[in-house]
Amino acid sequence: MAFWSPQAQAESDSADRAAIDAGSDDAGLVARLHTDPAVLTLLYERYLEPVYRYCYVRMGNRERAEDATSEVFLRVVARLGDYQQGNFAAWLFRIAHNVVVDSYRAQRPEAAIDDAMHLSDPQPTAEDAIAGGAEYEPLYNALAMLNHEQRAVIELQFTGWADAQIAAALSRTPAAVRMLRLRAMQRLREIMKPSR
Amino acid sequence: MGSDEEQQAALLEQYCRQLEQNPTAPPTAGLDAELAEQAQMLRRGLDTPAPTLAYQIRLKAQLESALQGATSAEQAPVMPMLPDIGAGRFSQPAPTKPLRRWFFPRLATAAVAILILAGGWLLVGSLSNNPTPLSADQIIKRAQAVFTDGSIKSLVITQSEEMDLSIPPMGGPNSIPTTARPEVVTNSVPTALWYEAPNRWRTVSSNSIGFSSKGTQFIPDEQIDVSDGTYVWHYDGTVGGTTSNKSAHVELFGREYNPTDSMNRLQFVTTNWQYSVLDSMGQCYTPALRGTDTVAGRATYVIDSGQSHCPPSSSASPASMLNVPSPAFPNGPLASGVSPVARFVIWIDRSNYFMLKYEIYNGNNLSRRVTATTAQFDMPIDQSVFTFTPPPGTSVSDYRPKGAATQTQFDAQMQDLSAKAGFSLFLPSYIPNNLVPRQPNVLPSAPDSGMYLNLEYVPASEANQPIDPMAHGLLIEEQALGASSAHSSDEQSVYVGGRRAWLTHTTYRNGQPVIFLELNRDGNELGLSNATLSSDELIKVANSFTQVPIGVTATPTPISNTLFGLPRLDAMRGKLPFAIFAPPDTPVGLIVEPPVNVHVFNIKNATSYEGVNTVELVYHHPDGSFALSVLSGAKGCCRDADPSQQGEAVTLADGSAAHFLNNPTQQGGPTLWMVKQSSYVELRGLQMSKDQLIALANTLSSTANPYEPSVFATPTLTP
Repeated sequence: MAFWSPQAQAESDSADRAAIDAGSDDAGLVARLHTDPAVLTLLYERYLEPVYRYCYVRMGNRERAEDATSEVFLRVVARLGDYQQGNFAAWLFRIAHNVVVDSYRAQRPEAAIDDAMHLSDPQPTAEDAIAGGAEYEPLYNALAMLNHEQRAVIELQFTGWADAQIAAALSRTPAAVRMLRLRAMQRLREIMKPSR
Repeated sequence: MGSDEEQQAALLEQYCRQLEQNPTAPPTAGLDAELAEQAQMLRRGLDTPAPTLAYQIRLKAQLESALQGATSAEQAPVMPMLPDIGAGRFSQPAPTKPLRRWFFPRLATAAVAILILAGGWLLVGSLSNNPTPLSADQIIKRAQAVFTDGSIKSLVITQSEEMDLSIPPMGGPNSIPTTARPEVVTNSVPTALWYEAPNRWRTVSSNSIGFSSKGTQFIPDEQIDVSDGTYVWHYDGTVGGTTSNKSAHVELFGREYNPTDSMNRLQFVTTNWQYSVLDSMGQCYTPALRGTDTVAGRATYVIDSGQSHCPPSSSASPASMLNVPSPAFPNGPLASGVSPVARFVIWIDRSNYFMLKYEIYNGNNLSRRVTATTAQFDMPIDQSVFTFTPPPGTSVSDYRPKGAATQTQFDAQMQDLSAKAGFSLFLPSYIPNNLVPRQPNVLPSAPDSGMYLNLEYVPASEANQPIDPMAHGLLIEEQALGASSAHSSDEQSVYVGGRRAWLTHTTYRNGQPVIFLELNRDGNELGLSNATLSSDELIKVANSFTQVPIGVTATPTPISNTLFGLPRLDAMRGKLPFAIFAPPDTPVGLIVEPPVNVHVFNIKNATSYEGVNTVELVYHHPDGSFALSVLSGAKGCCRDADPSQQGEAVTLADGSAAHFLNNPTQQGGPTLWMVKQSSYVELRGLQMSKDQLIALANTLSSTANPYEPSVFATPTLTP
């Protein structure tokens, strides 16, 4: 009598899952997006936490991060019809960034909000709420003095975005992201040196 | 760009990834020290929490609402389902079936056409076996039937059970967190189930951070239950707080098996919650079909109970404090189910209606999720799965019936047991329906716990059969009473020969009515359980108890005379917020029994006689029969809370008022009650007149201790 093995079943399921995952990189998913809208579920699963954590870093507290994250995904749903092809992570990140920018604009209409993606990015960050609080104020100030891409690569890196996701979000090659990260860290060090 | 710079960039990337996994990871070899330090600071400074479960639920609802709006024109039969909530907090969920009906108006025409075709195909596929779509209620009814109709011949399932221990599993005023350790927020219990109809099963669960029965100490947990079709093994690897074999414990039960016995059915094999969740959804909810999903590779219906429209459970008995079913083993699940307060989401297999997954929410907080990770049905299972051999060094308690005993054997065994039980044993002289005793046994109440006497009376023709005495005869359990006797207001207060007792009418396996009777006797608690006798017959049996001749001296029993090292009455006086009265001199010819702190939980009616917290001193005649009760409680606890102030008004010697009730024996006998020193006190004596009770009341003292000096005081040696 054949004995059914839970382990064997688990291995089989695991293999299926691996196959699903292997075929479910962003590019693969996005290519299927127009013929199988269900893949948006997988993209949601993949990006919920990174988007939330990015918003948290930029917004400074849980409530505002939640509001921003909700807005990001609602905009994704609302604008999915506009999205034809291309880099989903970059599109998502741009929406997230714009939500953050819009949020600050709504709060402080007089503030000079930079929506040109390649200049410095001086919005305040999470001085009041992220782990270290005042202890990390010099760091937050220094981050705010980086240009958008440098700041983005740092913030995405430390809010749980995978290397490939960061590269996609910034429309850079992985190698370029590596150098961007290094440059950002070197710049950060230069900025922070006088205060350290 | 120099090669050294490229190398630093690569090392930095590598180190950043390491920091993500481990915030204190040492710097990658070769990485510039300042860069490493800066990366560490960023890791700390930009540390952010994951989204909360409550937020994920809200976002899910928001997005589903948005999607519903997008799909409303399509009249989709099922709503699209977003992925499982909390996937980032708990372990990775089973892969979910892709959404079936994400539809967005502005998709290209071709994409829309493909989508509609695909959706139509899915819809046809989903309904091909069910020409008429089922409602949520119909699916739930079928899912409930699976547990009893025998439609599943065998199954092998692995599942994970995840709990957020900081969230009470149920809502309601009496819910409390299951842990006092808020830093431990999740727990995962992998379980494997094997089942072969009608009565073989094996369940294995392990729990890396199990919690003790008190909910405060976390210890490793390993539980194995095996039924070989005749006996049930229960292996508990947690005894002593360790999984080592030496402290592990095995209990071996023998129980009857028949087609209606719940222990033969999936209802028993699956978790306590599984059937109860389904049961509850049929009572206080308007469940809605939310869509379809895939669990363990099987197509499922997804049903959301919505919020309960029943009030939270108001019961505050210990068993219901967590609003969970009482432990089912070994007597099968209780019919009471879980408190219908929580919100449930369940996943029902579309081919056989077995529940493969469920989630329980307290408000919007996900408190528990059980998910089948693999599932297979109706296949052959190797019979070795249904055998169990205790690991070497494991202690074993054998609860199997001992078989029939002749009266001579029975008497001899009882006398032998009474000498070594450590507490007084009692036997009924009246047993109805020609029931005969099986061989008596003294067993541990629980591993590393006290002992109890197990008496089973069954029909003579079935004495050697593994039938359940509670279902077919009479089960009597006796044990030493602790410092207090706790009861809930669901229990009916009755008198057994003048002694207070409590009747509980409830249901047993398969909904069979059952009656429990508990009474206190000489510092012991006697419990009678049966599903065949009336409550009057049960009281009659209880009224016939006599002490086994060769036993421990009945009054007072050595093990129950002290509380925290103090004479029990003194200890109670130091702990309870009311005066405890006693006559300074024990009435001539009477013997005082150990005091009992009777705590009745959750009074439904403030004017009810059942007080919240009382202390009763019982005096009995030399033959053990009840003579007198002196009961003390907080002012307002008892009859004094009744505005009608029942009873004939009498005046005591000190001019204070008392009330006399000439009650019959079945209501406790003649009673005199009063309020003294801001406390309630009540005297009852079966053969005492009003004048005798008044005379006794005039002597009552809140400092008198009838146990001193002859019984409790340590003799002082005089030089």
